[in-house]
Amino acid sequence: MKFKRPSLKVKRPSPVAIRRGLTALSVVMALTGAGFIGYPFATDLWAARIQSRLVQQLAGGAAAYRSQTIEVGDALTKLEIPKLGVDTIVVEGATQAALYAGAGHYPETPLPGEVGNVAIAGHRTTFGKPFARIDELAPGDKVILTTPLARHVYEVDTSPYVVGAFDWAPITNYPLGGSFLTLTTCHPEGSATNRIVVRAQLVNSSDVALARTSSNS
Amino acid sequence: MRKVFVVLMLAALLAALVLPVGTAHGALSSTFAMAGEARALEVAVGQTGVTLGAAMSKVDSTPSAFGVAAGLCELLGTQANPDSLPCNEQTKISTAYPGAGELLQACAGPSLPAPLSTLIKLEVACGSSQSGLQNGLPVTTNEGKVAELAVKLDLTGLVPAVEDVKETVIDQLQDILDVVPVEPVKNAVNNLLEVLDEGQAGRIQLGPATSNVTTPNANTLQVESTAAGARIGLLGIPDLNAQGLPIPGTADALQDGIIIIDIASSKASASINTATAVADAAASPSLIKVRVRDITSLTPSYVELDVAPGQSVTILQGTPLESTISAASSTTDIQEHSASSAADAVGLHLLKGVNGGIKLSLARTTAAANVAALRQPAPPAPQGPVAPPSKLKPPLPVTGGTDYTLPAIALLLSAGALYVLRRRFVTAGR
Repeated sequence: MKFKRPSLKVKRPSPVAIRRGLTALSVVMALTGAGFIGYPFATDLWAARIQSRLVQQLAGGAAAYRSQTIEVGDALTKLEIPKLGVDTIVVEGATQAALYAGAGHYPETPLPGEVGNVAIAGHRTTFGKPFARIDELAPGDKVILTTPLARHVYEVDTSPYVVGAFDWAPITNYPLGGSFLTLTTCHPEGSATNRIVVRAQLVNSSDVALARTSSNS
Repeated sequence: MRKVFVVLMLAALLAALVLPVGTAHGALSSTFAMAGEARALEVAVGQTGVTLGAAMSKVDSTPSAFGVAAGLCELLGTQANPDSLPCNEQTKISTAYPGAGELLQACAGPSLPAPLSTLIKLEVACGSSQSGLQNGLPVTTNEGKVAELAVKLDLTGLVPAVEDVKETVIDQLQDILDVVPVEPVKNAVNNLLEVLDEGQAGRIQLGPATSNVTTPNANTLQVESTAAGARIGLLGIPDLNAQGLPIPGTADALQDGIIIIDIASSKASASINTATAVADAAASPSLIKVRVRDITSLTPSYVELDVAPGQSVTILQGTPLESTISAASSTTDIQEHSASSAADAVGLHLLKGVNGGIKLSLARTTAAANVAALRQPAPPAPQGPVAPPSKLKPPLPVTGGTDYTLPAIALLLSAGALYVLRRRFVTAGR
């Protein structure tokens, strides 16, 4: 009696199948790589779109500002740093979503011009990267916050310094009685390991409404 | 040649995707942050106060370590920042890793601010600190201490005051000492009044405050804050001569004071396992023993009073010697990835009837640790002094993000390599 020997051959994929698989994989990898490279540019475009909406919102936001009913993600103040060419609208709140606008106000800190430490966080490498170069600021440089009600000029009083990601001291610790502004962003560039901090002190406030400064400029 | 190229490209891809970008965790398998604080004594008279013996430590998985210790500081409050402790610079020392790794010490005999300077004599105050790396983990040891303190309240006003309320003093002492009849107590109080104007109201023997982060074994990191306790003696009674009269200069408040308070050490600790990202904590508050001297006895003998943890007792109420002792309690909070502990300070308000008395706060210790497995969101770092568990803060807003340039380049190169490899099968298929 004859038995049929079972075949031990494993069917190998055809070269065509391998070629197609490699083609698909290389396309996926190329697209992913391109996506990684394009991500910062995409966030910049996204932030620019949000900013254009915020400009309109801030110009008509006097009532909300006066009644302090600004929602997280809504325009709070215009921020200008003449030395760095920064001109951006800061939103209320410093959540991840709020910061899609580029810069956001720590909600637990006072409003611009008030006594205390106004703190603003801004992106450094994405979402318009308004704080990309704040490490270049030096004592004496001006930072201007223009709200719907007033214009506040701050002067940098401390060279930029680096703190740990969980170090809230720059936000909570400041000389009593003064009006300060603290800017924070991630450090080093492309990493969230630490934060770089710039502190400025209020030197001048004027009741120049945003609408008027906008029309003049 | 093509095979080599492909292998190299795939290796680059693997490396770019596996290695964390923009971090420097070395061999660590978790991210963590720990902090601790200990204070030996805070003393206040009126609106002026100082902290004597303070130590703070903090480490994180960067890895970095920072420690600071001081013998004399301003009153530190509840949210002191270890990076900018308001202390006497001659008694303060700090070390960090990365750094030299040496043990540093600073000692001085600083003067206290008025009016404390007239009440308290401080010989020497010191701080010592050392930070480094052990088993690949950041460690730091810190100690703040002072030599023995002499407390000198102006007793000139006390004698008439005691005279005025002598009956109350006698009644109170009699209650505590349970002496019958009352005559011996009266005689003792009269003797006491004769010697009260010797000047020294009391002495404080104070242990150091330490806050250390150590690594007991390769995967464990522990922050431990300890206040070594104190002995406080008030109103030393001098020896009597054969005629029953006090011998000047023989009063030692720590040995024969009317009131002697022993405050045992307090400890708060927290630990993490860097391999499993699990945290733990423990705390033990200071235990207190209050002893009131039986002044009717020639040889020192004492009646002991218990003060339960978290409770207060007031002795000699209604007299110039009225003193309140508040015993400490402790808290621990242990979650899977975070743990914190705190031993509250022992509070003393002594000799309330002598110019408002003197307020002391002793042996406050805290410790906290947070850990997360690598690639999870970084844990919130406890600040010094460590806030209670519920108040641990999140990180500052993330405004940088990860740089994907390297992975992107690796992906594109790998895609190119695969495309080259694909051509081989095009040829083979024909």
